[in-house]
Amino acid sequence: MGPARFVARGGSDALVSRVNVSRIRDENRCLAMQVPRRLASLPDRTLNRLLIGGVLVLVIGIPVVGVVYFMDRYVDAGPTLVQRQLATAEEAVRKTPNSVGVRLQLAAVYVAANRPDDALKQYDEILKVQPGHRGALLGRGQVQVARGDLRGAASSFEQIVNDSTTGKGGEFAGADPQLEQAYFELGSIALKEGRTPDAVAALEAALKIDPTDADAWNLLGRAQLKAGAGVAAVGALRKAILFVPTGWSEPYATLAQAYQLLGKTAESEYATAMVDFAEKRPAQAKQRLETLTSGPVAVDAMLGLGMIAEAEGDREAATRWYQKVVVVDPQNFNARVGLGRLGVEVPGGAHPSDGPASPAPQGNS
Amino acid sequence: MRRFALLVAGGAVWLLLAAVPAFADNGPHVVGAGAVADGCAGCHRAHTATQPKLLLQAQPALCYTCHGAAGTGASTDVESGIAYTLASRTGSTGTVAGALRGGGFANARIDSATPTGQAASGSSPLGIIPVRGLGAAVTSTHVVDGTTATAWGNGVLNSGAGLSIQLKCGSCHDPHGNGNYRILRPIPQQSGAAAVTIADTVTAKAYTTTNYWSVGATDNAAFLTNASAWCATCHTRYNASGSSGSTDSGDAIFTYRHKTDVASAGGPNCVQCHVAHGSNAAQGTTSQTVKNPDGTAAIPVTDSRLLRIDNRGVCQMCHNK
Amino acid sequence: MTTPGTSPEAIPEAEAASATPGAPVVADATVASDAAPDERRRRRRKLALLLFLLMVLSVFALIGGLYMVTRKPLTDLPIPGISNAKLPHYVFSVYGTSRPLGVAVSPSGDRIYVTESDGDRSVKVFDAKGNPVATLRPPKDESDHQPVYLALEPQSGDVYVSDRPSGTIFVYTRDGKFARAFKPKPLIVGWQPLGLAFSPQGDLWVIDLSSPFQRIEIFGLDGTLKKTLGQPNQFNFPNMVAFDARDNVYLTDSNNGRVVILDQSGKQLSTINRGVSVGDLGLPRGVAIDDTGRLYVVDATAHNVQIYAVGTDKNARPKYVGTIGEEGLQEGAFEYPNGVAVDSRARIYVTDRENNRVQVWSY
Repeated sequence: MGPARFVARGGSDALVSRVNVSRIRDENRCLAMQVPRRLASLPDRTLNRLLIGGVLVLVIGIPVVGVVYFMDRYVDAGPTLVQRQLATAEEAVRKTPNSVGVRLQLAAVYVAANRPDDALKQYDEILKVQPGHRGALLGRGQVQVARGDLRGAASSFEQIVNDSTTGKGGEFAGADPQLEQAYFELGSIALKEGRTPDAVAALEAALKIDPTDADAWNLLGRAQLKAGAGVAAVGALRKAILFVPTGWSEPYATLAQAYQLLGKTAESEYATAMVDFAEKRPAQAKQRLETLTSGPVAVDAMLGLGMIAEAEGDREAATRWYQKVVVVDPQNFNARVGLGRLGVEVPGGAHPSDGPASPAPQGNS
Repeated sequence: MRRFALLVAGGAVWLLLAAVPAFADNGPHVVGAGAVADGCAGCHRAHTATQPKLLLQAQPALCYTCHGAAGTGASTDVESGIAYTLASRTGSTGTVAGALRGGGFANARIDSATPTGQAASGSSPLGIIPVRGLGAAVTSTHVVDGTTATAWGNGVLNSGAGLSIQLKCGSCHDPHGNGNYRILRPIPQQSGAAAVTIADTVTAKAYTTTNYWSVGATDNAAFLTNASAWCATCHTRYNASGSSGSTDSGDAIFTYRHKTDVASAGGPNCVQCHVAHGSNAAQGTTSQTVKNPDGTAAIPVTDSRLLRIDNRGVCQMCHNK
Repeated sequence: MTTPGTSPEAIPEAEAASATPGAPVVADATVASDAAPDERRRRRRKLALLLFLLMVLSVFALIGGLYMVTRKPLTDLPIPGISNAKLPHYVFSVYGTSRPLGVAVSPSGDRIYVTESDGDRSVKVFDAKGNPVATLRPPKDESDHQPVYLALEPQSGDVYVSDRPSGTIFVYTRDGKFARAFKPKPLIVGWQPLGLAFSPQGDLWVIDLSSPFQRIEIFGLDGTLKKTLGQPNQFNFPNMVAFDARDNVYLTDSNNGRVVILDQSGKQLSTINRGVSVGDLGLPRGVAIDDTGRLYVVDATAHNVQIYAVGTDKNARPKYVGTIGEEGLQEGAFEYPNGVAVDSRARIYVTDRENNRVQVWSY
């Protein structure tokens, strides 16, 4: 931050230069005409020398200046952050080879450095010492998934689920984020391997622990669709898009298929439009949605149009669409929150069941 | 676009949980009426499924963005163990930074070496643990960076020394506000216990203290009666009734226990002797020999177990024999 | 065109013609036999070539000279035909700080000052290549110290460091010697300085979080309080200020999620708001403006730096140009960035807090 630059910029300089401009221009014109005249009177030999000299200056000068420019701007960046962390973590493991925490850290850095084989080795070392270590099992499983070793990964995650004290029968199984993670991964693997019923069971177990896991709802929707359960698929997918309504096309694409399976054309068209929106084709999305604003998916379509307008920065249009939604569906949460974001008064407050508001922008926090 | 996704998502999660924030302690966490729903975008980053499930935990980094050293977005600096008072421009001459009641995660201002006073009347001992002007590095904290630690005494009788958990700021505090004192979660994450509600009814907050021994002057009376019960949602077997010091609990490790159950025994509660965030108390050579409940040595051995006074000085405050 | 060292007279005409592919080939055989006009034509061609060479050389010298004076990258020099790079690219990182918060850099980029929020919580000083050169620490007293943000006094190069817990701004010389504690006159009890910057007029603007309300204070260099800007409940943890060439003031009103643009009298001209559209903000912290009118705003929770162009219309909202960075620990990715500074060489310095580094970007 160097305000000095701005101090130097006085208005008077500009004035002076403006006065001098015309004179300088005249001189320039004279000079510009003089140079060729002078050159023309030079003997042929001098002309040749000048030509050769000029070319030499260019041929030598350009690389020299280039090198100087490069040297002046170049900074040796040294090792990257990942390389530095790698060096530190490896050193730490050498120092305390029996520390599980240190090895977990090294494995995580290996993953960040895109060295899955080395990460696996570290996870295995930890599991030799502590066979049921959940952090190591989760880490190993994820690396195995990334490497395509689905069987190995499944066995890692199953070990977490089946642990006699901390697994599915454990005291806190109902509120255990790591167990939820293991179930989710197992569901994802089962879906990839085409074991649909297993996928549904694992994902439902994950969602029982964390009912707000949009990724799990999305996969469950896909599994249900594969199983031919259109209604269940729609239910799950609508949960997924409730949590992540924009920027994520996958659940909308599956939703479109699920609606098609159920023979619901308008609904399917709505989902397809939202795929367009999520994949950054707002014009197409708008075109599709505008034809749906009076049918069975009117509310969804208008909400979608509101979100597109808001994302495009068109606050007026967004407000208009959200207000239209509220007219039809006064309790529509997304529309009400959207209006709140836009600073528009919503009857009864931005949130349907708000307590007393406490605007406290200045207090201790 | 992604921020938008998260923003809308944040609102939806909230809807599903149907937990309407009652706007406990102040701050940008809470969502009020009108345009402030976009406050979500201030903290939430994109978690769309175009990425794998986020493993990298943003806590405490996210919390420290406002509540870290210097408090660039808050008056409470839980790293340094200080709270800034937005005091009057004239009148006071002291430092602007007060000592945070719970201590801090890097520094605390507990003058643990020079406590004074002792029992005035059995159940409510008078005493002073002064506040230092200069923070000192902590010797023990609740570990909130996601590394695995033991929740000592968690679980039913004879269920071992305690559950291995990974604690984060959000394990105990609900960042969105929930009507509880200090936005404490009625059920801390992974505790699996019944809810303990400490309703927050006081609007003028006191985050700081001038005497670390004084917990009777907190700004919420309900806190005192409920503090032990709340701590015991995780440290289950530490919650003990009046006769527990001489009655065999039946537990192989926590056989005899200091009374802590305020409801049945009248106190003291946990926060009389321990702080919640971190303490800078020192442990001498004798105190260092005290083992963890599972028989292991503390790591490091100078770990002060969140005690407010050097060594086991808290004992002396009441039992000045 | 001509081979250096070979006399052009020695080249037969046909060869000379083919050696200059751009020149029109003369097909008329009768002209070729006429020596005088041929000689004239050759001379004219040579003269043209020489003039062209002279032009190229002067452009070359001009660019070289411009660079030597400004030390700006080629893409940032005011040369017609070379389009300005729209967004900067990552160059390197300065390591050796513990969770850095604020950053300041000398105009030439030869001194980089960084405040730390972890470790020994001092101010670390680096040279242009990122080598450590000094550590700034306030004198020992009975108070906690936490350096937050920095400003460089343009005349002397003195380093002003705000320290919120001790309610002080510490002043160091350019080389890192402790000079003094900046004292407001009259004394402000319970002072909580956060962001600070020198205005084009040479006044020190300080963000003060103390009672009765969060505000901006304008001091003379001797500490005299000249003016206070802001109203109760207007700002919510404002973090940093910067000035553009038209004396407009850019304030990151952090917890309100916006950049407020004020004139020197404190009148609000426009804002860049928190929101969901491209170019909207989340949790803005550091702010800086370079000498070509590019405004940089660090968004701590979006893990990036948003770039805007400050236009010619004083009252207009700056135009969004683009965003650099994303969340992560790769080169060019941020983990809770906080402060930003610019030098006159079109370099941008960003504290990457949780990655413990200061990233340097350039055009």
